[in-house]
Amino acid sequence: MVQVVEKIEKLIPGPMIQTKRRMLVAFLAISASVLIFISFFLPWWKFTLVAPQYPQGLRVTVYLNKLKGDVQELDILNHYIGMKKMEEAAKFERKVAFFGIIAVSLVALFFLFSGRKGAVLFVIPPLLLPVAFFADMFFWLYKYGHELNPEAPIKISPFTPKIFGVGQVAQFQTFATFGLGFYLATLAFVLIFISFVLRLGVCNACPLKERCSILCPNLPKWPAKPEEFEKAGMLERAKILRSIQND
Amino acid sequence: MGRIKTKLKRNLFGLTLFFVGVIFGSLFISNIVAQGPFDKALEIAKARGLSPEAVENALKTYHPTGVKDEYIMFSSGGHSGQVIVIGIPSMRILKYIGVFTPEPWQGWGFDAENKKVLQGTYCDELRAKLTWADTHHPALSETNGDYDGQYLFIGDKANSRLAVIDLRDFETKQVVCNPLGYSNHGAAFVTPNSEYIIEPSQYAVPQGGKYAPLSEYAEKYRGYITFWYFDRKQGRIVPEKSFAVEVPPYWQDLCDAGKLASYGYAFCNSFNSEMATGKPVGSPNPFFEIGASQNDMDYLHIVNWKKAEELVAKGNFKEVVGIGGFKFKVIPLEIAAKERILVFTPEPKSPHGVDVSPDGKWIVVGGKLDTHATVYSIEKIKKAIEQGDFAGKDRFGVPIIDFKKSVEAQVPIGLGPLHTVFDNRGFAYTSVFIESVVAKWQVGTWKLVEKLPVHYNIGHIAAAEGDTVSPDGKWVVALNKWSIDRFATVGPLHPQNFQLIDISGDKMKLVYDMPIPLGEPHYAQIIKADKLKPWTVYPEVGWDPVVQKKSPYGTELGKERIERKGNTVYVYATAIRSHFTPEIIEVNEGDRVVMYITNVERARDATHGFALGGYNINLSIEPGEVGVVEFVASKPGVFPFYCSEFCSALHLEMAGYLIVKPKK
Repeated sequence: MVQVVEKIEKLIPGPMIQTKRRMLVAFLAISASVLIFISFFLPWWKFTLVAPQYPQGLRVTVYLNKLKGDVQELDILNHYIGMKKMEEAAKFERKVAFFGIIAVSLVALFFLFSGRKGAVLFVIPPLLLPVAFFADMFFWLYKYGHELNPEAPIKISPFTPKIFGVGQVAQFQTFATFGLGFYLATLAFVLIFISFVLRLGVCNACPLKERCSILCPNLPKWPAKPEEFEKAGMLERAKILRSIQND
Repeated sequence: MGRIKTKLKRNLFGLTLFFVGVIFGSLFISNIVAQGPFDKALEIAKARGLSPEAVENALKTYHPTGVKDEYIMFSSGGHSGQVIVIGIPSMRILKYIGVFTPEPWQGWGFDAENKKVLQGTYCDELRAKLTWADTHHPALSETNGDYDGQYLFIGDKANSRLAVIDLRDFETKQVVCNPLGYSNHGAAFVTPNSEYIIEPSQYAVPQGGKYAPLSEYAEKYRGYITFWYFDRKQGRIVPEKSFAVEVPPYWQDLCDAGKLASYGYAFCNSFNSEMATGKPVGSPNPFFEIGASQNDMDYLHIVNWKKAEELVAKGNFKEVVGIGGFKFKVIPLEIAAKERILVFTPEPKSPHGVDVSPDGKWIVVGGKLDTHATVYSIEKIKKAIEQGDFAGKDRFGVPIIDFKKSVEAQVPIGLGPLHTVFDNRGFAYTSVFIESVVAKWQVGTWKLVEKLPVHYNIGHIAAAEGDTVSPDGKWVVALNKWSIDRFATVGPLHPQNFQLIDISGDKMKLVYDMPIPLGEPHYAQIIKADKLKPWTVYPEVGWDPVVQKKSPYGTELGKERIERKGNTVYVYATAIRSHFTPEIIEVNEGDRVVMYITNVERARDATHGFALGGYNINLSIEPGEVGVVEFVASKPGVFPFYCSEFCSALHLEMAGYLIVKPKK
């Protein structure tokens, strides 16, 4: 009986022995997916304007799909320099944001099931998410700072509001910083990248490296036939299996 | 010898060293003191000739910028018909609340909607047109005998009216006229849960506001103690659920509601139990001031309002058709006397204030022509009523409890005591008019503790939460009628003088004089500031402050429009820095114009005004509020309108034209 158990243990596919590592890979990918999803409900960018008559400051918080805070008050101030209303900006982006986030967080999950080569592709969307946000935000800031209404009561030269850090518009001081959502999304990318690197190790142990997902689906499933092991190039195991069957 | 000498020398050397050390040390210390942070302050004090006590007083009231007061005082605005809101202890005026009088800054009485509030509920044609009032006694709403900071009530002595102010936005929500008379004095006083607001009439008139000659004074003239039912949820007085107790024409004065030990009772003074009817031209009769001061004692009215309420619920009342044809529930004098809803006990003549102690056990009456604060015991009063122990009845059949059987003590405090407030340490503070002092005395021992001169002719007195079940102590304000020489002369009409008194120590200390340049205030109440939870902006854009709900006429940005229905032009406008939309309005001569202007701002303090030349219109439209303007464009021409509240750098540009085209 003991012999039989030992033999069966030997039959377990190589990658499965690395259970811990595979768990870690899965955990990181799932975490990344969850973080990306959560980030939708958190602010991505925060903007504060300080002026004497606003002792608390004026704050606008940008979410992927909405603007919150003293939007109207800032719009009122902005209209004096001919800036467009904030609600008019990034309308399309805000509309598709939710589906985009769902898609990217699912991609982070699909990564687990993809083949080795495909996995690289699945790492890209989570990376793109914060980068795209940054680029889009910059685009709109630039656009708003440069497309000022020439008939505005107060005429100022075009400018790009700072996307990060301390800025100055007329006598107002501004502070811009990214929100927790942005940072979580960035973290999600880091996690998925680590997961990806760790997964390389997992798949290295997989006989069918090229087509390996972390589940190594192309390995024979237990109980398997000796021919399947042979086909997978695991002759040793095939041999043992045959010997058990012959017993 | 030599050794002794050396010892001496050593000691001398040591001593010298010690003294040198002391001298240098003290020089060093004094140097530090001289360069200390308060040195400049001392210099200023010296230069201004301020005594150390004056400096102390100044420090007690000074608030650096941005630091808020611990207490808020709501003072009657006297003839201004308003309420004055004052920070305590800084004595800074925070607001005048427009109540019975149109007040342009707040647009009070200029807005088509709040104009209706001013015209009042239950008001006859005379009183619906009033533009002034003599506001007397503010009363904060109470829960379990303590201020709850929700509402403020105030009475108009001249016209027997009562107003309800909502303390979420510090605006008046209702004005009611009493259909039973034209004057009150003691209004308003609230029962411990603001179930009722008590309004006693002052100068008796014939029932129903009808005509009756003075020769029929005893038969036809009557006073009323009105219990206005307050619906807290709606924030409105409901006249239909209110009732009055008919009382003899003795000219009732102030009242106070019993609390705790005396819950369910109300106490009111009277001062013409002689029923003097005055001096007609050429008559030998005495003037009222003589005629009404003949008896040594007048009657303290003890009203069991709980019992009265039960009787009304049972339908045991008569319906009096009052002034303006408004019906009112009245418990007739006979029933009130028979059911002992109304009981008298003598009180020193010409009494003024009646004030119930925080525990409700004592009722303090100040007799204007007396030298005592007379203290009655509710226990004794209740006992006498229960046992039917009466000394007799007055001519209307009202039972009278013997003075000795109701009174607990008479505290000798000085000539002309008026009103009494309490602190948290068992002391009472009574204003003594003729002597111009505040008298501090101890409840229980009935001993006078101290008198503090005030300037001059103190009327009312207010203490921090000093008429509730839990006074705070700390501050008393003397509401002086005369200021004489206290301030720079501004012509023969002098300001009144509010004097702040620190009562936190063993001795009372007068710390601040505040001139009141707007009417002669009467009573004031002081509430802990953190009990008030006022809004900074209206909760939603499109708010109707009169009903405290979203108005159906609010307009969103981009949805402004002008609609014509027959001869009426409806303008749905918005106001935002720095323009009205629409800002050009064209109508025809003779059109009725109705404008709903929504201030769509959400920023604190971003109020817009709306002033229209020639039409007596000025609104204050606070963030979120809908202002309503209604007028007939009777004269052709072009009328500029503008924002009358400085809102922004382009405030002057926030203007427009009303163009009234002439008839063809």
